[in-house]
Amino acid sequence: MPDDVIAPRLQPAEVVEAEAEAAASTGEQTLPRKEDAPPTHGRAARGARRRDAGPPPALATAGILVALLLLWIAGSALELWSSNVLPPPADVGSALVELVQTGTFWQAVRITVTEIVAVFAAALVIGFGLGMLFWKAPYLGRVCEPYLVSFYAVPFIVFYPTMVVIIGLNSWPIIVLATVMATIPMTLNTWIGLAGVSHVFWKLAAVLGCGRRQTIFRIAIPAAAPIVLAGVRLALIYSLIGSVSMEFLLAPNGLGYQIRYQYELFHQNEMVAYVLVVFMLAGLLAITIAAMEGWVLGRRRSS
Amino acid sequence: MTLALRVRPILVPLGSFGLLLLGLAVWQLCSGLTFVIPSVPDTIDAVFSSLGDPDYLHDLRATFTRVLLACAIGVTVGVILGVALGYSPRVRAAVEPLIVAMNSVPKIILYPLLLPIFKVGMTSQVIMGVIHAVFPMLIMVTGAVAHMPTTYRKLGRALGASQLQVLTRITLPAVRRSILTGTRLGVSLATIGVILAEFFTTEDGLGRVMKQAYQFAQYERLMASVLLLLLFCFLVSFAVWNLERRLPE
Repeated sequence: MPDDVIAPRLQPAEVVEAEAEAAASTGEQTLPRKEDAPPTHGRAARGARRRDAGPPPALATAGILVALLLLWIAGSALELWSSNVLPPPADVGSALVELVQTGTFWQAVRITVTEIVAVFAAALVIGFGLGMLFWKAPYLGRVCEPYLVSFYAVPFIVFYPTMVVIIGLNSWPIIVLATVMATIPMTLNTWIGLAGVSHVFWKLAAVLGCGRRQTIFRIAIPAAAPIVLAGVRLALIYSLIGSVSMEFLLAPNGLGYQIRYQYELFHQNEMVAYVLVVFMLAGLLAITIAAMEGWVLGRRRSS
Repeated sequence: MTLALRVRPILVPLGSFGLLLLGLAVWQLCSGLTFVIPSVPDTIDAVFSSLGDPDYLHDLRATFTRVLLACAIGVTVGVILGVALGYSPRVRAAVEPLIVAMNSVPKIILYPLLLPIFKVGMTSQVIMGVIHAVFPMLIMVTGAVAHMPTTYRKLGRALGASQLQVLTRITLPAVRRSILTGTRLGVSLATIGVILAEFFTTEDGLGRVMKQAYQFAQYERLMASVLLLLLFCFLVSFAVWNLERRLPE
């Protein structure tokens, strides 16, 4: 019995874990698991992370960013490339300062951020629900699995025109399509995470006399947390990528649209400024999710 | 504890095929509701008439060449840089956050920055494909090499293997699963990168065909191209995914 609880799902689990790394994590939380017996995987993963900590690498990372900025300044000053290719940082900086004083800029930010939040929330709820469903009904899950795994490859953006005609020319087509993109990794990771929970935990729950709800919320979800969190992180990344690229290619508003619009007007400074804003947004989301992960995994350790 | 599958293995692909038929049926039903969704027979007609059109075949070949080039470059660069980063923990600690952050940026917005340098055409589209494909491979190979048990390399050295032998006989085989997963994601992402770049601006390619079909409201032509694209990505990822699953532990 214990064997067939773990074994059938192990291979795909690793594939999806690896995928989680591919798009998001640094690898610590999943790879050590492969060498360990399943019941200890959580502890092993955390141990590995702590060993890796060492001196703060954040300083070196900041150093690299500063070096890149210096290179940009020097290259522009020495005219290694023309300002049509990449304008000097001072010009981009002043364009950015002017932009943040305009209503257009903040409207674009508001639209994009609203889309990201809506997509992220929808993907979390739907993905978690589907993941639970596939875990509870493994046959259904296995039947859907090939499609889920390969639908990473679908450029959902091509359905945008269709959606516009059905829903209308507003943020909703983007929200619907980006939600489909972001839901897939959330579903896969929830499913794999729950399926990978050691049978020891289920026995423990039974021994302690946990109810259905307690088993799920107090045992299953904390035990599956590292993999589910990788899914949450992927969902957030896909929300950003889906929203901004659809705006960039087709939509009539948002940060992505502003980049295209400034490009078409040959406003190189403003365009680069908007690209930098998207980079900052991506960095902000990365920091937020890292903090959230630290908080959840910390709580998990202490409880 | 109902996790174990209690059906015969053959029922799984049968079920997947059934789901495909169900999907087609739902599509056919939806096509009756609005003119933007072409019916299934119309779309299949469009697939065959497109494939019989020499212009379309030219576009298809252009896109396919770019995707192949982008994959080849992306996979090679990703594996080489990934192994290098995995071998050097210090550099990895500093660079990895930037790579992970870059991975979450919608890369297509970099395309207008590439255009003034490389102009519209093959080079800029291939680079766009490479930028899309390289990050998952890089992140995965870096992680896998860094977390490879140190005994592997020690054993190699103890047996008197050269650096190159350690690399080709020990390191690369040890991380082959990550390389396969990176390749699978890389093929899909390179395709998306090339198509999106063509969609933005180009003279030829599947992306241009789709954009034109969209602008002229030829929805069955649009859908036919989407279907071909889906089929290509599905077959490639499914094949590589099966390889991954069959790898021994």
